[in-house]
Amino acid sequence: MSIISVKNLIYKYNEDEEDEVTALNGLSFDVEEGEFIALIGSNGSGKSTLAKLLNGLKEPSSGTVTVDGIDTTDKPHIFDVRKTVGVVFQNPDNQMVASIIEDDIAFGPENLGVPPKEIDERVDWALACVGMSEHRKGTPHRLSGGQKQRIAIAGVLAIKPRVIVLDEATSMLDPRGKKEVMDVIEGIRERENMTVIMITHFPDEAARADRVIALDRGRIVLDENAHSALSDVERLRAYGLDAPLPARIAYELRRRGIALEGEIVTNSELKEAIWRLK
Amino acid sequence: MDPRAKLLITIAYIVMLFFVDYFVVYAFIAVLLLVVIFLSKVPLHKVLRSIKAVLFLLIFTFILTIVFNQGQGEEAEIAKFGWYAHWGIFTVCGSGLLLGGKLICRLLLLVLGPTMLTFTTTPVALTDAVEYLLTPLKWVKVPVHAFAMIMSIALSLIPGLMEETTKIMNAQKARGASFDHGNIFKRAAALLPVLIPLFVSSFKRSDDLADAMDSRCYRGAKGRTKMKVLKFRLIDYLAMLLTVALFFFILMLFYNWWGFAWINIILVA
Repeated sequence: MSIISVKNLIYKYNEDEEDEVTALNGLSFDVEEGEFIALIGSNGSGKSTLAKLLNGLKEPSSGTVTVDGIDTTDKPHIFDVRKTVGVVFQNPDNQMVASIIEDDIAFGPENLGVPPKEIDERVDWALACVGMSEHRKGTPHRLSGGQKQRIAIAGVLAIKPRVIVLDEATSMLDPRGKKEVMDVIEGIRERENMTVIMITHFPDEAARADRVIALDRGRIVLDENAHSALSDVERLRAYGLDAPLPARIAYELRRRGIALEGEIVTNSELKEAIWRLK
Repeated sequence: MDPRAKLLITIAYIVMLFFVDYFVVYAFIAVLLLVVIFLSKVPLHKVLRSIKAVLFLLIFTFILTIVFNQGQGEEAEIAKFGWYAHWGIFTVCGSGLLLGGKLICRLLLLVLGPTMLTFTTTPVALTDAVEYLLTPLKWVKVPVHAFAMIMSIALSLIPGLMEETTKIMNAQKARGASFDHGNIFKRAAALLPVLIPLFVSSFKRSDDLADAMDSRCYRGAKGRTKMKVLKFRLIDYLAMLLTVALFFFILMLFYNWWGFAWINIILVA
């Protein structure tokens, strides 16, 4: 069974009012356990709305979202849904509940009624996962954006979700912060075999995923293996999206008559292709 | 120490100070406070820095009490202290000086005690303590947990809001606003373009925070556990016992129970 299953999902803001806006218009996709999915789309394509639908913060106007067999509109079981799917949001400052890091991370497990000793262990573990163990007793306000976001991720990890959704979690960070967060996510994925859904509008970040789902005006326009999706520069552009830099370089070179071989998404692939030129 | 014990002791300490009427007792309490500061390993200069905030208030109250205290029995005053000045409605006399001195001692100790509490206790521990101590209110359906949660969130959001305020002020300055010209009304009016965006952004912020809390399974006090379980230990009981003893001693002096006021005479002499 898929861990998340979305069927004919429609979501409208201000439903049945004059200013009704259809944010998502008939999405269907399944997420298998252990997948690393990048959800891309230009502004207003409905990416962030989808994030909130995945753990029941919003309810679908029609269609269903099922998490580990539980419908997200099933109120008595909503905490089972949220326990399974953890969401990290865009602005790290707005996700801090407490003014001491360990207390903030303990917030999730405390809500779930985990015994005190285990909460303590989970906090240790979550901080180790994001490489912030030495900051346990510190306050978040003096940290850099990347570090704050790592704390926010630790706060979600402490709940021990099976799926972690990152809603543009790197968009407010500087390049160094972005790299920090991306490295942490890859680390978690490798060690904990967690399912990751990363919402982003940075093509270079999407290139780290296995599968890419692209949204355009509330519809899925692309759902395939990340490599082939991101190497097709023209198709991405048609949906208002950018390809990763190496793919764009390869595209421009080809347009100028240089016959590079294969699908090119990463730096090393571009390098290989250039070396193989005769 | 348990934050609940610390909070209770601090409250007792504050009340206690209002019953003290002798310099010697103030000195005694000050020595106790010094011992506490020493034991807590908080650097002394850090504690003393908290006085700076109330320095103006201190000086102001001191001058007012000196100047407006008429003294009782002028001859007695002159005889006792050999000094008495009278100028319009202002009178400087010995009893005024005494009263002013006592007030200063009281205010200083009032500030320093709770400062120690905030230096040695995290906001979360403190809110936990408040939540626990207000538990009786739950029986009359007061949402104590919600209060504690609000307190803790408010405390954690303060630095963020300060940052936001400077950011907005800078943005408005960049567009030609000025906050340090004109009279007080003009300055207040100049703050309006800061307050409105600040309001808007705090609403957005609380929206985001609510989403973040929801997705971390927050559901009020129901089924919630705590990472740090509050536990009274021997030292907490001892400290509270000592406080009660001290309080009792001070009340005894104040109300002259069992004619114990003779201690005062020794103390004053």
